[in-house]
Amino acid sequence: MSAGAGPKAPQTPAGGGAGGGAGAAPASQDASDDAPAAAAGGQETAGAVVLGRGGASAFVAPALGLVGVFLIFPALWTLYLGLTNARLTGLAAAEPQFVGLSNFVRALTDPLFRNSLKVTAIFVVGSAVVGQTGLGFLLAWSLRGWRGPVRSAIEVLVILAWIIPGSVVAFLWIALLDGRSGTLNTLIPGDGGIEWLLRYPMASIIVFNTWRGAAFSMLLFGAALASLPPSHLETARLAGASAWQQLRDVILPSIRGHILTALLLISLWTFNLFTPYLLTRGGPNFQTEVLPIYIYRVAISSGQLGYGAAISAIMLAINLVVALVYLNVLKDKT
Amino acid sequence: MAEVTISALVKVFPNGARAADGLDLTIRDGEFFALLGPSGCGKTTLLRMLAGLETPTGGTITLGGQDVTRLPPGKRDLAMVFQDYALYPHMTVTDNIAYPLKVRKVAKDERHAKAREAAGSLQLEELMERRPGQLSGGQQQRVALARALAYPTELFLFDEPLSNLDARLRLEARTFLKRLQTDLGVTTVYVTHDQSEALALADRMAVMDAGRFRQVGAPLEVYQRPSSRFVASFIGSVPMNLLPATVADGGLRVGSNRVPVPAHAREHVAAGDEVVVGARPEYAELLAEPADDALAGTVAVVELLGTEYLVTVEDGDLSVQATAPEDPGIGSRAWVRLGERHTLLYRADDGELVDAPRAASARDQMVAAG
Repeated sequence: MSAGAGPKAPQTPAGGGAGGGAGAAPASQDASDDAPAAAAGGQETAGAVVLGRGGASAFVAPALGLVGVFLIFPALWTLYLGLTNARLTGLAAAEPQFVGLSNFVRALTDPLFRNSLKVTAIFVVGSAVVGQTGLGFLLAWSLRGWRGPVRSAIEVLVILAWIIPGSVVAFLWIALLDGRSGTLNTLIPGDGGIEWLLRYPMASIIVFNTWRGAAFSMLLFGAALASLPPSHLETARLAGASAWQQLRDVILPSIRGHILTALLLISLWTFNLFTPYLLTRGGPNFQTEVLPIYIYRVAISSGQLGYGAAISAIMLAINLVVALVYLNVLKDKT
Repeated sequence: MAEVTISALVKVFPNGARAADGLDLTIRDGEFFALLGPSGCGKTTLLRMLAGLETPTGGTITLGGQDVTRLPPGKRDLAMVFQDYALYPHMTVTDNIAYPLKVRKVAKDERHAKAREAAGSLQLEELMERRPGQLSGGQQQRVALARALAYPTELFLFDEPLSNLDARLRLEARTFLKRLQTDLGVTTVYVTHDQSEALALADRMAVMDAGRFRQVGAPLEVYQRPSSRFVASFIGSVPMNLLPATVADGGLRVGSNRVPVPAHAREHVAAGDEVVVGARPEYAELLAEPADDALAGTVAVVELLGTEYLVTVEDGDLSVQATAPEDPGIGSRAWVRLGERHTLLYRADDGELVDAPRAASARDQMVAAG
């Protein structure tokens, strides 16, 4: 990244030691000794002079190693698997055959894959964009002026929903939505007996995921709103702006960066979320089979590792595109 | 344009702090009125109650004869400039200035024309398409002013608008602000903790402490005749000499020295009274020769103020300052004549001027409440 002249400068006074890069400690020692001279030359940034390339690399290496082992290798392995007919068991598990792009071609024509894409899109828009981000902002916005025990109680409840383990939460929701003895049916007057998870599966998992994740955006937006100078809103109030005008003209533009960050993180998390499986197992009739569940069914339940890996790769690509779009918007005039 | 009246205004915060403790005041139409006081004295709270950003606990505020005590800020026809300018970072200078007009549903062309007009009088024409982040502090301050000017108002409220500027720019902006207000003639209330700003800008000013007005008057009056020791210690770039003294033998015993009782205070003191002598260094005279009515001591500190020197003369525990045209030299003997005409005597017990009536009731209440 740095220019060729950069790292060389501190090495020259060190007596032209050939192994400047090998011994990180001596290199950085020399560099710091020469910092004033280099700074006087006016060519070096302070950081580069003090640490040197060798020292910097030594510090970064362990982290890069971990990223390589646990992130880059599995991703590349998935790409490779996607090009084979690998299976979980049997002959193709021992000696997978290279099949080219046929897994990807198959995915494009697979109606269940396309169904899964659609279900995922609805789930992400409903529970991440509208649900978690919207509800989180609404909570942060309405709690903004409050102080005292009521606010703390609401915050604790919302955050509890966020930190309780997923399996426990899933059990609670099944108990809530159960047709025969569920809490919801007991609360609703009348005959009851509605099997919520069968009658309204998509709505159920959207509400479930909204409830579960609103805390994150509430905390994020709460901090963003708190950092807004009071005088900005007061100026708007003095001008006669209504609550809606204040929101539109002052608050939303001021926390635009926070909104985009929350949207990016929450949609990626939701996109990759497997938890709906604990409520509906993707059913009924694939109505809630989001991509992670679909991949699980294909790769693990049906054992088609190669096909599952291909779909994983497609999912990875979609993640990247979503992230790039958000980052681009974020970069624009902030 | 409007006259502002507040009567029996009280503001008690939930934590029990009394930011306004029964304030009565009339600010005349077109007047530049400064509220001065140390931080926490209630001056900003008073300004915010005028703006409608805080609701008074009791009392009334009228603006141009109309009771506005419960009116929301947007309906009061006033403009406020904040200490941090409150410019919107996501809007251009034009949009910032025109924002109050946009809220008032003025058409885009018209409000942009108005914004250009207001900006023109503040030398901002070249900056109209920039964002606040690309402006210097002084420019941002002028944009905030332009926003206040862009729509017709009855009242300007300024909350320490110059305190974020560096010293030199602050002086320029001060002169500019004074000229602007004189030209426009809009009633202005200006909050500051900087006494020199209040003296320089205001037609009249109020010195506040603990939610009360300690003195209300023209700057010159407040400067020359502070009504209490508190005001005396607060006003003046160079602090006033406040010397404890005892009335004796028709004179004042200050430390080991004796100075005459000022003529105007003679009938208000009796032998044995404990008083505090208040004398501004600017009115005091530094002598190189002994004099009967002067305080004797040794020169301890000499500071150059620009055209003259501020000399600190010490004698034991007594320390008195005077201005002198020349450096007397540290360690030399010197005599300070306080300048009888401008010397004030404060009662040692309640800190009021010796000729002021004792405000028994108010003081007792404060003691009872405190």
